[in-house]
Amino acid sequence: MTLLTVNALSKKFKANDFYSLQDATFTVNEGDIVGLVGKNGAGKSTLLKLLTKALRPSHGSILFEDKDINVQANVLDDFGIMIEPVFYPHLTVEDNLDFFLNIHDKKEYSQNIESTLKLVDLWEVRKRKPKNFSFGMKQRTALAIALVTEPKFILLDEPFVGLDPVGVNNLIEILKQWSIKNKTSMIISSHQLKELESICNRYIFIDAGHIKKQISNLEQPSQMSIILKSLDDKTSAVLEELVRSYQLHYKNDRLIIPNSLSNQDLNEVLGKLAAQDLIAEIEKQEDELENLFVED
Amino acid sequence: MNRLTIPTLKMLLKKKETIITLLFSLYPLLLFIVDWFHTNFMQIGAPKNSLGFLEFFSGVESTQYQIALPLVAFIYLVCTIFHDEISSGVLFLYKDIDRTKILNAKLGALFIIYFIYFGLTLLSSLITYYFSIIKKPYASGKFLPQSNSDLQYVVLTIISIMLVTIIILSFASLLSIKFGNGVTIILGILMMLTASIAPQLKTVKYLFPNGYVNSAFNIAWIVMIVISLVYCSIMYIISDKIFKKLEF
Repeated sequence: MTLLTVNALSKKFKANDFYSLQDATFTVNEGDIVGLVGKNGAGKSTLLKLLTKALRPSHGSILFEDKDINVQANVLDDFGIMIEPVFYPHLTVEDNLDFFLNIHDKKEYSQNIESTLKLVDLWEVRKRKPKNFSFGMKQRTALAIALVTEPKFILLDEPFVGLDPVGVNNLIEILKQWSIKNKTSMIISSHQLKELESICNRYIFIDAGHIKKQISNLEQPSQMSIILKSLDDKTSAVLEELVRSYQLHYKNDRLIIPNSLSNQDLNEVLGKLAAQDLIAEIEKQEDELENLFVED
Repeated sequence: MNRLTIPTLKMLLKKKETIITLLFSLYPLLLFIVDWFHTNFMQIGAPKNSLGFLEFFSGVESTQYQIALPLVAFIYLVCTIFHDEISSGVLFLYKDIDRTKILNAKLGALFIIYFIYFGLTLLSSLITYYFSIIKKPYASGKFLPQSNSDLQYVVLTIISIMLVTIIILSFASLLSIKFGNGVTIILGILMMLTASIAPQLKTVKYLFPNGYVNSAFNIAWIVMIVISLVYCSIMYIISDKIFKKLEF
């Protein structure tokens, strides 16, 4: 089922003689997690701000559940929005969520406050004011506000920026869990392609205000190749065991390791190869998303 | 008032800027402290047995207005409600709630805070008058002024200060939606100075409500309110138009 239809959407700011976004056309279906990819200034944030009505389009339309969002108010009621880590810094985390529920007349979701704050790992600090939080905690505060009403559609702009690797993994897990639990659709704008790959099923690539390419399910996901030294009987047995246990692929002296392999498994594989002194070289193959950046 | 007003008010009451602004309402209590020092600072001069409570309160209101600090604090509060929320993206929290409703809630909460400030000033003036001033020889000890004409003058003075403050806050709100904090504070103070000076100038005497303080009571209070309504309505219509078109 199509939730969002963006048709020939364009935005030209008064001060500019060029379009920051031109003729963007795409749809988002229920359950889609769309990665919005592009360089700085490509038009990603402009597109997200148009979707949140923070900006008004110069041309084109945005339909959510067949309603033109720019014709009436309260159409974004089912949206969770985290364009910037916004909240009231002088209110506690809990008061911020409470305020958000009050202004949107959604007090029935008050019971979600505890579970949402636990999900983003802020329950213990719910009585603290976010103004002194680390960037990651501020991101998670804004994320909790975006998630607390169980929205059908979530818009996230650069959610991984400023998070340490543990924070990034946590956020990905949170979004995955949320998507599975609530069948929520999402548009996630990010430069961090590996992170997008681990969560998105579709990608929109924007360049200079134009949608250049839309990809559904990457044909060539990013992967790592380990070029091995010559094998003897003993090392061949080790390799066969690794291929079987971790479902790897071995061809022409190369052991192909998919990006989907967990960090723990990757360490185990590399450890076993290193123990046999088998690693000659490691190559990383760029995926379609990275190629889109490189091509340009 | 709409359903957003009370949450907005509760949110604003937790701001440091609001608390500092409200603290100015305790200004009359300073007279207790001043009494401990033998100084001419904040000394009240009046004939014997002449100063009733309402005259004292009117004097407090006038002094608060003239020292300008409480109004500057209010203008700064306005900046945090409008410009700061727009520039920091806090408006994303409101998603696409009707912009007029958001504006009404913010203005409503702001004016409620002003009325709280007014009420607290009244209360602290009452405490100061009946616990300190009443012991002075110039105090009459009565709530109302002695003559009807004095009463009318005092009431018009209090109403005019209240209305001029509301006009300045409406003006500051309009500016703050469009401009940065510096511009809003400077133009707000200029407006305040203009409103203070205007009653003393022949040509623009009746431009602001405080120009009618010495006019006939029965007409003056109505004209004051009508003029204020006209100013506030014009500024509200422009604010609403700008706020609706606002991009952030």
